[in-house]
Amino acid sequence: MQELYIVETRDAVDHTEPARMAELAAGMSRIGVPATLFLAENGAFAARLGHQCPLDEALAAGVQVAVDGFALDERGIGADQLRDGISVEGVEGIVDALERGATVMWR
Amino acid sequence: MKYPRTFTIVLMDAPFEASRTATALRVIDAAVRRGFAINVFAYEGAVLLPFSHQQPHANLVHGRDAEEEDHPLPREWIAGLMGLAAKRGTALHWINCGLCVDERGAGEAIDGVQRGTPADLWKLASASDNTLIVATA
Repeated sequence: MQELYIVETRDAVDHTEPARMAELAAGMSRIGVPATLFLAENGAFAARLGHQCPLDEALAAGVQVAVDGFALDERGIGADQLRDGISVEGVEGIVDALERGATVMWR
Repeated sequence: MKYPRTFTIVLMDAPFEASRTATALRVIDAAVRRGFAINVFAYEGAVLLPFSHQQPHANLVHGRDAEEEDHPLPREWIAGLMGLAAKRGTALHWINCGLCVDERGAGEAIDGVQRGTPADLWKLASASDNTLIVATA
C-alpha cells in the first residue's frame, strides 16, 4: 500500500471504531506509509479541543488529520476550537487521494 | 468515448436515512467538476436513490407547503450531477444492482440509470483508476 486515506464519519464518543481507525493510521505512518484521517459528518466532533483522544496519538505518529469544513459549519464548530495540527479541508481532499492512487477507506 | 481518469464509487445507503449519501454525492460533484468520469454502482437501499417517484412534501408542522418546504430529493441531485458531468465533457454512469432493484420494486428510475449485476461492479472497478466503497455504517 502506497498511501492510506481514511474517511471517518462516526463520532468517537458514540463509537469505539474511530479509535481503531486512528490506531491503524498511526501504525501505518510508523512503518512509513503516509496516512491521513479525514473527519467528516459526526467524525468532526473529535477535531474539537478537549480531553485526550485517539487523534492525539495519530497526530504524534505523523498522521495528517483534516476535518471537513462543511461538517464543522453544520455543527457550529469554529476553526478556533480545533486541536493543534488539524487542518480544515473540503471533500476535494478525497478526490485528491483517489487521484494519487491512495487506498481510501470510508468508515 | 475515452475519459481521462475514472473512479468507481459504490453506494449502499437508502435515501433520506444517512448523511453519508449527501457526503458521497459531494465527493462525486467535486470529482466531476475536475473532469473525472464517475461510475456509481448502487446496491441494497441505494438503488432507491434515483427512484423516479420520489416526491417533495409539505411540512404541516411548520406551516409550509411543498414549494416553501423545498424538500431535497436525491433523484434531482443525481440528475443534476449527470447534467453537470455532460457539461464538463465527462460522464456519470449510474448502475443499480438488479437483484436489489427487484427486491425493492425500484425499477422505475430517472433517465440514465442502468441495471446491472455485481459482475459489472467488478468490471467497472477493474477498469477504473481507483475505487471507493461507501458502505453503510
